[in-house]
Amino acid sequence: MKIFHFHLMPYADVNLQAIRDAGTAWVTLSNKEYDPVKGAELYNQYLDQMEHADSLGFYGQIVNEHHQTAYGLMPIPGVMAGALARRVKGKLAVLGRALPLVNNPLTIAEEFAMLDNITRGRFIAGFVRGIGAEYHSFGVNPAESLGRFQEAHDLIIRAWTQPGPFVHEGKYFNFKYVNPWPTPYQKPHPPIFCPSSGSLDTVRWVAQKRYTYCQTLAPFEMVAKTFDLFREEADKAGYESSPDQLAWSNAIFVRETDEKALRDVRPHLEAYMNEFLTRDPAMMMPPGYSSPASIKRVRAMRGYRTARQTAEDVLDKGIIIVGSPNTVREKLAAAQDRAKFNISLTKTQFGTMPHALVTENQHAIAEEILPYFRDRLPAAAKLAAE
Amino acid sequence: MGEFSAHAVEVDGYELRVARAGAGAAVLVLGDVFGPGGIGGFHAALAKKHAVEAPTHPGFDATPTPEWLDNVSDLANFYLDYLKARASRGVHLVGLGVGGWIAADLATRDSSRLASLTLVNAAGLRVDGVAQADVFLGTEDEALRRLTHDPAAAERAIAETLTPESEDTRLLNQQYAARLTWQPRLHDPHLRKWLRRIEAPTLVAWGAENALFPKAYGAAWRDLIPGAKLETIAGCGHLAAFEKPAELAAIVSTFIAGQRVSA
Repeated sequence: MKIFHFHLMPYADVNLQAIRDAGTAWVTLSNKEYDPVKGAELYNQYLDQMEHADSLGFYGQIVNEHHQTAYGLMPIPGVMAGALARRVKGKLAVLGRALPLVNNPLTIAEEFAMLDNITRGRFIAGFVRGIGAEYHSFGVNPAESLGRFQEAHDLIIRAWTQPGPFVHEGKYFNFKYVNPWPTPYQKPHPPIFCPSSGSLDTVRWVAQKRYTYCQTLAPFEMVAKTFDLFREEADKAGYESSPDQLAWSNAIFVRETDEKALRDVRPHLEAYMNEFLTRDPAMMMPPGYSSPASIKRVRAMRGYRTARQTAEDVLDKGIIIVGSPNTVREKLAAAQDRAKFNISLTKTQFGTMPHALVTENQHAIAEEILPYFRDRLPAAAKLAAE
Repeated sequence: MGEFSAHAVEVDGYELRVARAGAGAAVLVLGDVFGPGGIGGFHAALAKKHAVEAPTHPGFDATPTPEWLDNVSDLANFYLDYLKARASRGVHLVGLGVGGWIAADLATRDSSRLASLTLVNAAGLRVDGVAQADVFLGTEDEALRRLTHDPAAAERAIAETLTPESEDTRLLNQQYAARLTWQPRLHDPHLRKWLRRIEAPTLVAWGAENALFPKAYGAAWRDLIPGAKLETIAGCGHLAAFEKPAELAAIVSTFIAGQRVSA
């Protein structure tokens, strides 16, 4: 299994009560809650954590993009990727840039090509729709989200693979001269990963494009079902998908015993699930961004908006893995065999977790977990290989 | 008046759904894309004295979506074609909310078929520096509370419209509403330049407590359309046709009666 190290870079020093009072860490939580002295410290700690994870043998480093939220401090993920590009030896991924939010997708083609060149081809490109709250923050019309995403994607791929200059005449974007310098180091272009919360349309599209599908944080049974769906969609598209096309986004926290792990993770995990993540469907699902069927499915989950989740709830649903080395190994192996994926996008820091604890967690994962999974494949794939 | 009856009228190859009732001067009511929508007490009151037509905007209420539907101007051109196809003259055009935006846009293009224009809490303009409620950020019941003034009216709107049976239609309608109004939010920055072209006598009717388009918006419409007059409805939010149907119908009927044009 390829275990990447994934950082959200939350504003961990946030006043949690301010989030509770605002009802959300997104869109309307005032940035007067942000202290740049604390933020500067966090940015540097987080970059240290990523370099540390690279030195410990994680397969690659992942940053992502979120806007106007305490949930993640990377509105421009290329800045973080740039800071890491010459410091880390493993893969480097931006998962991903939110294509519909920009008015010139060629800036993303340029940014990713630069990172691919600097890393001499260790770069992985991520494309996402952006999350619903960001359509409120950016003013981009959510009813145009899918159309803008697809047109931006097609333009970027064409800019990477077809010699310029050429003309782009689209519905949302128009360019007389498409001719970006540099072009990607990897040919025809860097590997493409697409994170999604599991909408059928996205799963199908990623399968058809033969890209890697990344399932964002979700109860594990939903992850497994979505991966089943991906394999079905690949079959329909006329090929058998590889476990390397399936990535599960999770978090892992390892301590000496299950009890100690649960006790130490509780405040940080509960802050992450209840304060940093927004679970407000009205904010997350603006009209047109999600289909009416998706909105109804979320609305039908009773208590989705109001019920606080305890650490036990989160662990019971298999959203993340917490425990002793043995527990974590067993759970991750069972997950890999059940859902037949070969990529793990693993956070070692989440919510309010402080630097010292993250460092200890990273060491524990490097010593107790990574070696066990380095050459491990999903059970069925192993059988097929034998 | 009689009951409203449903008709299908072909315009530009599209089968437009139109509700009709009453007799007298021709009144075309373009509805809002927010709030309860449909035929209500306001329409019924107007139909006591006038021949009222109320189309369902293409794409809304589970009607087919035309390929050409991207923005409000598309609907303005479409309804101009509707008037032309019906060979309508002397029409009293009434627009509610986003329907007012469509009506104003239509009238800047060609007001020759209009006997009068009434804009009720119309979208379409932006008045700089005037704080507006957000109709998209929140739940459906929160939106209805922001669009009404009297909490009892909000509760009535919630009870009548937020039903499980209508959920699919509402979600699709919200999608079209976003398509038409999200960015630039609820206005066309170019519309104000051409409002002086409107030649029809114009009434601007405004809810005194409209949180979506506060009173300054009503004044802006009045000032930008030559000869327009402004009537304010006390204790009324954005959804005037829902919250104050009789008062609004009386204001509109009086205005129409004041125009010496035969249908």
